[in-house]
Amino acid sequence: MERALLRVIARQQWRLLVRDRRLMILGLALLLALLTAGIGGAAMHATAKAERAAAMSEEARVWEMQGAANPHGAAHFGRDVYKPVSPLAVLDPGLLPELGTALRLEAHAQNPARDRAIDGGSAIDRFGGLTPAAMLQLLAPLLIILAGFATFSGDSARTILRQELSSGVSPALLMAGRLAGLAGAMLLPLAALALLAAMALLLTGSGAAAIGPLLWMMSGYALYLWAFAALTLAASAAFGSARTALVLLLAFWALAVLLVPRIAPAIAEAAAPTLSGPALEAAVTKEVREGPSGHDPQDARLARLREDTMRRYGVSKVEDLPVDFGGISLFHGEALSTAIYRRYSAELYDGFDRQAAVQRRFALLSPLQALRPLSAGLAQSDQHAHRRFLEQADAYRYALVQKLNRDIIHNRKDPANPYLTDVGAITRDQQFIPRAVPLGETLRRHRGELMLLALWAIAASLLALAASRRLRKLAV
Amino acid sequence: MSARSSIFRLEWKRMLRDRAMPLLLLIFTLVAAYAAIAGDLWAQKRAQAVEQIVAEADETMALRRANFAAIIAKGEQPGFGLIYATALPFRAGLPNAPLAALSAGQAETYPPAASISPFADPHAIFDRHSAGLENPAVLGAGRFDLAFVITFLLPLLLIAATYDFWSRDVENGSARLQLSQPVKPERLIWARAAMRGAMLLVPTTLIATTLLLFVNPRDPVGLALFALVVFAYGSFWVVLNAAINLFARTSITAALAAGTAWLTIVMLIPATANAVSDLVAPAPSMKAHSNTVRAVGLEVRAANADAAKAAAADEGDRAYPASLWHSRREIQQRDARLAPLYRAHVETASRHRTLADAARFVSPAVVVQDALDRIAGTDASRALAFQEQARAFAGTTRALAFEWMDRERLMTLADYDGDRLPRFAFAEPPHGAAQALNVIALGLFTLLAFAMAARRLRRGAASLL
Repeated sequence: MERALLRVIARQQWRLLVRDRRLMILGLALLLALLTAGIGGAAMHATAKAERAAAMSEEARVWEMQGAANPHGAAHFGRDVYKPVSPLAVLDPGLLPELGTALRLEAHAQNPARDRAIDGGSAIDRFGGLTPAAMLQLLAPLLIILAGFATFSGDSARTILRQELSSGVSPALLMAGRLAGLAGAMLLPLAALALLAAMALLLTGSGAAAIGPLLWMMSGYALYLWAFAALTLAASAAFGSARTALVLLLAFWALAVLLVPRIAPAIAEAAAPTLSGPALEAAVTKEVREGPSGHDPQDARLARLREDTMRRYGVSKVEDLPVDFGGISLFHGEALSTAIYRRYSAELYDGFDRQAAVQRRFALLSPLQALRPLSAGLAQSDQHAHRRFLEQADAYRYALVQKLNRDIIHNRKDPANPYLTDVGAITRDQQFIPRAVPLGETLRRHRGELMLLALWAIAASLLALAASRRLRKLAV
Repeated sequence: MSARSSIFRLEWKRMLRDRAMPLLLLIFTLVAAYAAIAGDLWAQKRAQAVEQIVAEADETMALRRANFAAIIAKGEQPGFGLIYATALPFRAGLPNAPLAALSAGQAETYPPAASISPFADPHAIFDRHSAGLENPAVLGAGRFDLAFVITFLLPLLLIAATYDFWSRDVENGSARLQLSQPVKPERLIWARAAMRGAMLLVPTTLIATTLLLFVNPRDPVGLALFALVVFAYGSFWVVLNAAINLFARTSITAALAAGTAWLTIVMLIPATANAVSDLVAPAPSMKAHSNTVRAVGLEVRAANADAAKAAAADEGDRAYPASLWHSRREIQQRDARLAPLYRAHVETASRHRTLADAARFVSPAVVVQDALDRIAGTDASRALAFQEQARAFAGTTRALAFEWMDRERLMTLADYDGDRLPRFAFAEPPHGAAQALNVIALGLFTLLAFAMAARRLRRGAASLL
């Protein structure tokens, strides 16, 4: 009986929403904006994918073009690798515009990623782009507020409420029905978006593997929108004046989606500072020059290496070595600088992780702080996916450079003359195939955010149920 | 007492009784103060980073000088990088403008410095500094600076203060009484809107300007322009709210309309214009460009392979070795080959930027962001002026190295100690025309909102109820 009644109330809420032309227009505008953003994003994604494929093939040709070259010169010339873009980044580009999509791999250095979409921007870039994620994160909650703030408050709503309560329906059931109706109306475009995205993924062959993350992503958005729907109805039931309810809800929206997401990263940056680019570069250069202990200059290390090498080969002069000492020196230098770079890089990214943890605490003030990292994580457009790409690229860089150094060690016979060899042939078996973060790892990493979103949805629902106790008073 | 002053007094009393007004002012003061402090910290950090980069060249020269002196002291002759002008390190840094704390603007999307050496490709001098190591999450969220407070939050506060200044009176019936007085409706509405808006806009403009003055008092012209821009932008929102009030029958409808206007003007229109400009005139592909440049470099190298071998074997008796003379010829050939490629690349980037720049006129929010970025010196045009000047400076260093080579002149200890080597100094580009356009655009947007309201008012007092 109660379930049937719930359906009736939810249907009535739907009808009220549909009849309100203002909200219909806003809802359709949201759907249109979602579709436009999705289509625009898909077009950009296709362009980026084609650009990456062309660049990869051209880069390989350029590397081969070197022909006979000095292997260490080739290691300095370097190779470029390009970050693959996950198909779900069409829905949520996350931090991709800020992260860079190309990486120059070369000897003695660990370069930051280049070719960021934000590079060379104008004032308009500070307003962000039109993405489905932005629509769902910023606009959909606002639409929910506009659709639901007068559900129980205001004169006309009170008249309907009076009639409903006089029919014997309990206030809690009434609230549950309205919540189902309002949230259902908002979840419908979300379901449509999920369905379209899944079809696009399957039809374009972009990756059936992305269906799982897509469903998890949409679950996160559903919890987020549900929380806003419940909070809206709670405010509507708690305050007799629709104006008060609207002002408070708009203030919460501004706090949750505008202020907290801007302030939290700045506070996190101050709470867990990381080295600036020039400071990091200077620290690495100093350590390479003075050794990890700070008291082991490069010259002394080189002399020690020379002695050790001659002892190992049982010779008393470098010229008598059966291998090239220059190559050995480069090999050891690379190992040392790579270890130093990796340590500093890990410290930097651990620092970013600490900042992310500080930001996560702000999820208690704004559910968006939980949703954003979850959504970007599932779309593989977050910091973690980028770090993983950089680490894989650096492993490849190290293997490539040391392969070239080994060639010098074993094949350079005449130190007096330039040593040239076909570097393309030597490195042909070195392939860089980046691997994405597995879904299980992403879910483990973001289970905190998922739980926070669930907590927001539950707490907001309980608040709405608690506020429903005031409905009888409102109806009087 | 004139009718206008009576209206002002009435509105003044109503505002004094409105408990929301002091709260709004307090919120603005706190938020703006935090933004000013955060902006100042950001500006200091950036200045330090640029100083550190610029100091790298001096540190390298100090190390070389010590090495040079030690070798001389041993009675030997220094060689290679210690004596060749071609090995001189130079740095160019973009210093902060006095009011940098106002807005991070586009500062983090352009290289703040250049690493220059005479033989380096002048278009590659920014590569090392093109991607900073700021947390991308911070970049993605956007800096919480005064420009953000003015562009995004000030309109919300003005909406909160003025969204129902007339519609509420229509609702409670007092509008009928007011319109029955011997005062023209236009005069009544505009006097009340001006009073209500000014009560929040004047103090917020003063507070924001004072905060900026505390951060840096060295740019009075910039401060005055800032106050003008904030006031002009705020006036647009006050007039727009007045216009909305004339169309809305209830205060809730007025609130919804004002909220929708904010969303459209501050978020949707700029985001759409941004996406459209990206699609219409996309930025050039950096990946393709980089591969082309590398390929040209290899082609030039291959064409000169025999000459390089000969130069390496040539023991010559000139001050600069044959290999350096060879490099000199090769880089000239390479740069000549690359020039048209760079020109085409710069043209495509410029087309993209020009469109994005023009797209600011679709919304007053973007216009005001651009104006504040220019006041802060964190706008794209200043960053591009720096790039142009740094490239010109790279040309100067190359000319110096070539001249020393031609004269067979080597570095001496006096060169290390003296002030003979060129240093980069940034010359501020003019931005008066762009700022004038921004202020005119803000005025036109306000006029547009005013015209909407005036049209409604022409229908007579009955249409206002």
